[in-house]
Amino acid sequence: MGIAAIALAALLGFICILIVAWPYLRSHEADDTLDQLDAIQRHRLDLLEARDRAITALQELEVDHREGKVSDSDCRTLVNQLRREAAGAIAAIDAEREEADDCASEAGFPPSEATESEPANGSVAPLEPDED
Amino acid sequence: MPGLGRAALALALVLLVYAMVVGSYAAWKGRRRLLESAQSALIAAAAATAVAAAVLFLALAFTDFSLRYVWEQTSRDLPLIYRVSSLWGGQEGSLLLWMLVLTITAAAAIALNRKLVTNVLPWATPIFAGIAAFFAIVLVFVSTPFATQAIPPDGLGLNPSLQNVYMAAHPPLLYLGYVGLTVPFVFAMAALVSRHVDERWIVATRRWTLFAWTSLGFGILLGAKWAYEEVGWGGWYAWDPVENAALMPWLVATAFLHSVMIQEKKNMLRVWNVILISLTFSLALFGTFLTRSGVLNSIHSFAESSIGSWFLGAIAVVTIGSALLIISRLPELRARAKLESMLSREAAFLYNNLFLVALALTVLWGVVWPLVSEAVRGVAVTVGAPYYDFFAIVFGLPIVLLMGIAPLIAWRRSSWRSLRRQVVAPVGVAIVVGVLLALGGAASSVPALVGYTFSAFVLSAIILEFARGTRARHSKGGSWPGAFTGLVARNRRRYGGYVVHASIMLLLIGAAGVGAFSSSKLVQLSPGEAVAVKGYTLTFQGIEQGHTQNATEVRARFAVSRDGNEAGTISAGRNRYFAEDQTSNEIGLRTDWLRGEDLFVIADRFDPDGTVFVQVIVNPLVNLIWLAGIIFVLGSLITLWPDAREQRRIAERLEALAAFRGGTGPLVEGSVAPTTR
Repeated sequence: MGIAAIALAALLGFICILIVAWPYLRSHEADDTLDQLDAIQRHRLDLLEARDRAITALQELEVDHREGKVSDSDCRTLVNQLRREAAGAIAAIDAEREEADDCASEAGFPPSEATESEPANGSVAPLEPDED
Repeated sequence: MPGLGRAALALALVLLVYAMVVGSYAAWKGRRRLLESAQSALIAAAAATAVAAAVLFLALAFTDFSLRYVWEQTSRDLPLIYRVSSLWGGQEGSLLLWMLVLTITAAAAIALNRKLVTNVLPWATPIFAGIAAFFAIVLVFVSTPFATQAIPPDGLGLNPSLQNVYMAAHPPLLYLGYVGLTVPFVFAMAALVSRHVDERWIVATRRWTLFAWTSLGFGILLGAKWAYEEVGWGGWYAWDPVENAALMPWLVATAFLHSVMIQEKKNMLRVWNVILISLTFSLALFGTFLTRSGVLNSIHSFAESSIGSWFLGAIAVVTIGSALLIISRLPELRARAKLESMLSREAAFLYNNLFLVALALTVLWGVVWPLVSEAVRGVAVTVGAPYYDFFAIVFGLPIVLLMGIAPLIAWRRSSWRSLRRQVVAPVGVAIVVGVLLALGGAASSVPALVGYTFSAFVLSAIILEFARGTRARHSKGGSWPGAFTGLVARNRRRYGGYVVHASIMLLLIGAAGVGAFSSSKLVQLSPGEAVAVKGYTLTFQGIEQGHTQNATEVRARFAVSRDGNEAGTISAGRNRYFAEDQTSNEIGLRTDWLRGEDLFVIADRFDPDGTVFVQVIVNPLVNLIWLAGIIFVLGSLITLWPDAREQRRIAERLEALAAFRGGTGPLVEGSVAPTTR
């Protein structure tokens, strides 16, 4: 191995060590924990997923019905079923929120904020139509 | 600078082991900076591997024969493009390319998904690093591309059949496919380890999967084009084990791409999806093992191969490890929804999945059986094209039928009455096409006639879907072109998928045309004599000789006429390569794009009396196969095009989750306000 190769290899090694050490060199924050979801948050995420899935399915059903792929009677049955699913998920989300608010106020945290996709009054969020 | 290459590879190995060990510890203990350091190590490993690849690249470009690999793969007269493509011409270079693409892909996949899958990402880092470390170990300790030797005067050269522009592009595309499939596999495993089996890992990796699947599919087709032009037997796919090695993961990945839609829409098939992606990745590794271990030549050459046992071990670890992980996570993976009706789009996707996997496993058995037979009984057997053709028809035709039916069925539930109404037009078109083709003489091949009828059904169903969708959008106002582009732009996944389906139908039509209706004639001609095949007349004009940079050429020249009209000349013959001391057939090809047919000429025996043995083949519709490749890529690009709505939906969901706690702080374990549950 020639001198030039040794020098280049050493330079490469130095740069790599610098890259690996960089997170420690640039940040001195005391908080060193990873953003992780616990079991409660995972449950809430499942509810949000279930709500979005039901709303998307309602939109797809509308498209399928318009294209004649679903009969009127099947459409009525499915609409009722999907509305129940969406309403159930939204009610569970609201219950979770109230519970979280109660605990937050006990602990001195500000109350939950309703987001655009998850209105606190339990109505269906206006997702953009996706016909896939 | 072989020393620099060796040092860079050794450094990459150290970095990958660091990323694997430290990344696992950081993910387990939830240590942020340690994980960032592991992720940085993965990026640094990509940089170190790039340096090693650059060293080999330059050595190949400048024919540095002090490297054994360069000596084995190139010669001084080899054109630059093939010297460069020799990077993936041999075992060591191929593995280096695998590792380079893998480390770059891993670093990019982690960087681009930092926000979307924060909980899965910590485990993705060590799993990526573990897979890349395997390749690094093989390259450092078992099969190094930087082995040196005393400098010989010239190299051994590149196998003449690899000196083809399609072969320069085919292997990198396959590697992009194999390596790209690592991304969904790694994220699936990370989701299982972290117990975050919601749909986010699928959303995060869907485009990677599509990209890998497109690369693999297009790579397979380029390989077919290479075989058609370079191997020169007049066909395009011979069910060769090396071809099958790439086809198997592509088939299972196709099933995966369809079944993840059911998980996204109905939260079903979660176990099935992780099994599919594990199988896909195992088959990608198996494909590399098949092509690189020498096992295909003989089970004994496998035993002598330096990397065969390493790959077999890696496949075993991946298969057994992922199976154990899936079993241990069954409670989390169990579906909460059920299939509501056997007549629904998700049911059709499920049937399509079963046929695709059955076809892939049948091909796998055809590839493995000769190896098993030789290992166990000591008898080498061959599984020929009839075996594969039979199962391709048995499983392929239902898949084709489902491609036409599935888009016409609603999600969740449909009725026979609705389905009947939907299929009337496509079935009508298919019957008319079938009858017309039968009357036109296509009934001489029943499989081809059935294939064409089914294709007509699928293509008309696709056209109907586009027409219905466009009409529905047009009814809301705007122009027809605006309605059409709006339809595709807002539903890229669905309509891009239809374009891909259409390309598969074109491929089927082309394949059936070549398989059932090609004509061939083998004759010995003296100058001035002619041969006639299916409207073409070729008159042998004489033999010509020439030189290229690294070979001498002998060509038989023919005047061509079509239906009595002059249609130019065509030449076919052989090349003799100096450095390689090998000859190769160089076919003559004349493409008629209007008819979609090829005039294909093989002239591989020149006698001293000036005669030539020539085989003339007319391949009808063969060009639809290559056209299908272009449309396949186009459809995939439509589907791949980024859709901000999907990512925004997940981001909004995470925002909603953060809003539960009345603040915008990080989602840190233990920082959640206590609840009474």
